[in-house]
Parts: sequence; C-alpha cells; structure tokens
Amino acid sequence: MIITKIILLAITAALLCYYLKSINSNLFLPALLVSGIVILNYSIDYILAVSSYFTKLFESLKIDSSVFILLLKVCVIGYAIEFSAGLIEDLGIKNLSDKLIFVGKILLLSMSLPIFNSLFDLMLNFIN
Amino acid sequence: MNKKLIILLTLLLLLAPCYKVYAEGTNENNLDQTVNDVIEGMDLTPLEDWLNKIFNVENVKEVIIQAIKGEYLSIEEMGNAFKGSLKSVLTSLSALFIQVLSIIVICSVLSSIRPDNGQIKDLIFLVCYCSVCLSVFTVVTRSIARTKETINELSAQIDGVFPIALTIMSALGAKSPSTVYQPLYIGVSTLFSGIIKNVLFPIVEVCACVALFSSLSERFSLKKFLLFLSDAFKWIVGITVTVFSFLSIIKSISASTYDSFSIRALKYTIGNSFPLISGFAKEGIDVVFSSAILIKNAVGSLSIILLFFALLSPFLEVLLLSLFLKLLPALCEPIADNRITQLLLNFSKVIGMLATLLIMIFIIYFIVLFLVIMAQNGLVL
Repeated sequence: MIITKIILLAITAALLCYYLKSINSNLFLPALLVSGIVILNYSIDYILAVSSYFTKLFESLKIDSSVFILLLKVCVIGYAIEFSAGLIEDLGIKNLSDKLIFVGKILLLSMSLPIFNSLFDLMLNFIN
Repeated sequence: MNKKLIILLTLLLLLAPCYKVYAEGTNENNLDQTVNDVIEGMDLTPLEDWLNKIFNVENVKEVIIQAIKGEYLSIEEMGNAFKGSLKSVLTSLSALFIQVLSIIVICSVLSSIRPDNGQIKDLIFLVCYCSVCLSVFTVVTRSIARTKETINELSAQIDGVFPIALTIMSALGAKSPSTVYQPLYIGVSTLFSGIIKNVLFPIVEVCACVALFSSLSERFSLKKFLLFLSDAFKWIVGITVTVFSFLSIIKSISASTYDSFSIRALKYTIGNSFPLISGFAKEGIDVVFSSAILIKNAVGSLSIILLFFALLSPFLEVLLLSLFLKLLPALCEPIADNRITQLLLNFSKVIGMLATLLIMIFIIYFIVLFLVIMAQNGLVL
C-alpha cells in the first residue's frame, strides 16, 4: 500500500538526516529538503484527483467552480510558503523566513481579492 | 226548497271535474339556477388571476360551482403544483450543499499547517470563511427577498379576494361586514402588515448581517446580540398572533349572533305580512340567502386552498434550506473549523425566522378567511 511506502520513506529520511547531522551538518539541510520534496511528491497525484473530481462535479451540477479553484490555489500556495519558511528557519535564518512569509501573505491577499470583492458587493446590495 | 238546494249543490260538488294543482315549492334546480345567476353577475377577476397563477386554471366560475358541490381542485392538479415546487427547491439546494461541502473539505487541509505560522493559517482561514459566506449568504439574501415578495403578493391577492366575500355578506343585509370584517381586514392589511414590514423583516436582515461576522473571530463575538434579536423576534410574533386571534374571534362571535337574529326577524316579518304570497316570499328569501352563502363559502374555501399553495413553495424552500444548513455542520463537524460550523448554524437560525414569518402570515389570513366562511352560515336555518 502507498501509505506504508510513505511512512517507511519518512522514517528512513528522518534517520538519515539525524545521522548526517551528527557526522556532517552541511549535508543535513539539503537532505531534509530533498526528503520533504519526495514525501510531498506522493500527495500531488491525490490533490489533482480531488481537484478534478470536484471540478467535474461542479460542471455536472452547473455550479460556478471559480471560487473552489481559487481556494485550492490559495491553500496550495499557503502550504508551499509555510514549507519553505519552515526550512529556512531550520537553517537558522529567521529574518529571511519572516520576509518570505510577508511576501506570501501579500500574494495570498491579492489572489483572494475577487472573493472579498464579491462578498462586499453582495452585502452592499443587500443593505441597499 | 232548502233541501233541494243542498242536494243540488252536493251533486255539483261530486260531479265537478277535479284538477290536480301543484304547489310550486323550492327544489334543487331553483337553487342551482340562482347560484349560476349570482356567479355570472359577479366580478371574480382577482380570484381568477390568483387561480391561474398557481394552478394554471382559467375558468374560476366553474371551479366555484364545483366547490359548492364539494368537488375542489383535483388531486392531480394539487400534486403537480406540489411536485413542481419541491423539484426546483431541491435542485438549487443540492448545488449549494456540494459547493459549501467542497470548500469545507479544502479548509480542513489547513489543520496540517503548523500553529507557529499562525498568520498564514489565519489568512487562508479568512479566505475560506469568506468563500463559505459568499455561497451561503447569496442563498440567504435570495430567500429573504423571495419571502418579502411572497408576502407582498399574498397581501395583494387577498386585497382582491376579500372584497368579493364582503360584497356578498353586505348584500345579505348583515351589519357584520361593516362593523367586524372590514375593520378586521383593515387591521390585518395595515397594522399587522406594518409590523411585518417595518419591524420583523428589519430584525431578520440585521440578524443575517450579524450572523455573517459573529463567528469570524473567537475574541470578537456577537453571539449574545444575535440571541437577543432572535428572542425579540419570537416574542413579537407570538404576541401579534395571539392578540389578533383573540380580538378577531371575540368580535365575530357577537357579530354572527346579531346578524342571525336580524335576518330571522326579517323572514318573520315577510312571512306574516302578505296573506297569499308570504310562503313564496319566505321561500324565495331562503333560496337567495342560500345561494349567496354557498358562493361565499366556496370563495372562502378556494381562497384558503390558494393561500396554502401560494405559501407552499417559499415555505418548502426555507424549510429545506434551514435543514441543509443544520445538516452541513453535523456532517462536517469532525473536519471543519468550529467557527465555520457556528456560521452555518447562525444562518440556519435566520432562515428559521423566515419560516416563522410565513407561518404567521398563513395563520392570520387563515383566521380571517375562516371567519368569513363561518359568518352568517346559520341564516337559512
């Protein structure tokens, strides 16, 4: 089963990183980065499958799927920023990590503007 | 000589040709004819428009004649009206259900983000919250608008139908239309409509806006304010319906007794005033009164059926929407954030208020129409 593979891979990567940390700390972080990317790689297919399922469901029910797709992008970008910021922080460069989080927030805010705009328009129409 | 005269008269009586004389009394054909004549002379346009709109039936006079005989609209026609309402409501609500459920599933992914990066997590949560609000608030505002439109249309329909019944009642010579039913109707159309439009609907709208933001943050909450508004709403509805029911029933009891006595007095006067035609005149009055009362009852019963079916579709919509907005948090509670489930429950309370408004309108108009139907029914006894 796929989950057994992922668990075994994660445990193996953790042990390898721990060993590398003790013998050569320079290799610790690249190993950590590669392990994280390999584990996340297994989830991409499933994310795409969930996304296409919901998109087809929306098309069959004739629902507008733009909000759902936007939300999916926001979540993926948010998680990618969090992952990168975490790695940079593990390197000990908190300053850079904070800057990356700041840029990520601005990016997420700009992507979410259509949703906020629609909601404000709806409220104004309702009040008027 | 006298004996001869008596014998001659006796022989004449015995031998005279006998003709059967039929007394012309009241029968069913007279009543049917009178009913048809009265209906033909009435302007039933408002009732016809209403009937056409709900059941797609054009000839209201035939429907009234059938109703007098106890044959109302067919089960098939009523079933079609019901099925049409249910199908359209279920289609729109299932779309909303899928949309909100998918957003909640995506939001549940957020739980994997570490709390150290709380700001990213909070921002993504805000976007998800706004997406859920957008989907649900659109439907809630549509339901509020539809309920308002239904109540306005219903008021207009009853405005057209009620005078028909009042006209018949006035034509019977009763005082109750002017002393009881017209003031009662004016009370309903001005006072209670004013309470619904100027007090209850604004409360619902404020609740909808408050529900939108009340569960956005755990630090800043408007739950108590929302609870206060919903309690105020319930109290106003309860008091309004109770006062209206009490006043209308008390007034109509005395009115019907007065009318009954006054018509009996009229019949007694006519029955004992004219020596030869009193019997015919009295029976004639009975036929006219009976036909008028039958038509009044048929118009009233038909109006009640139309009232029910006019409210059925919007009521089903708000009922099913309220059910969906309770089902979603129940299904998503294990994976969804507590604030989103609370948001959905708050919106279901707002929709519940709309259902209460529709029931209130139904009760008020039902009482008015029922009292009109029951008025003066004892006149022909």
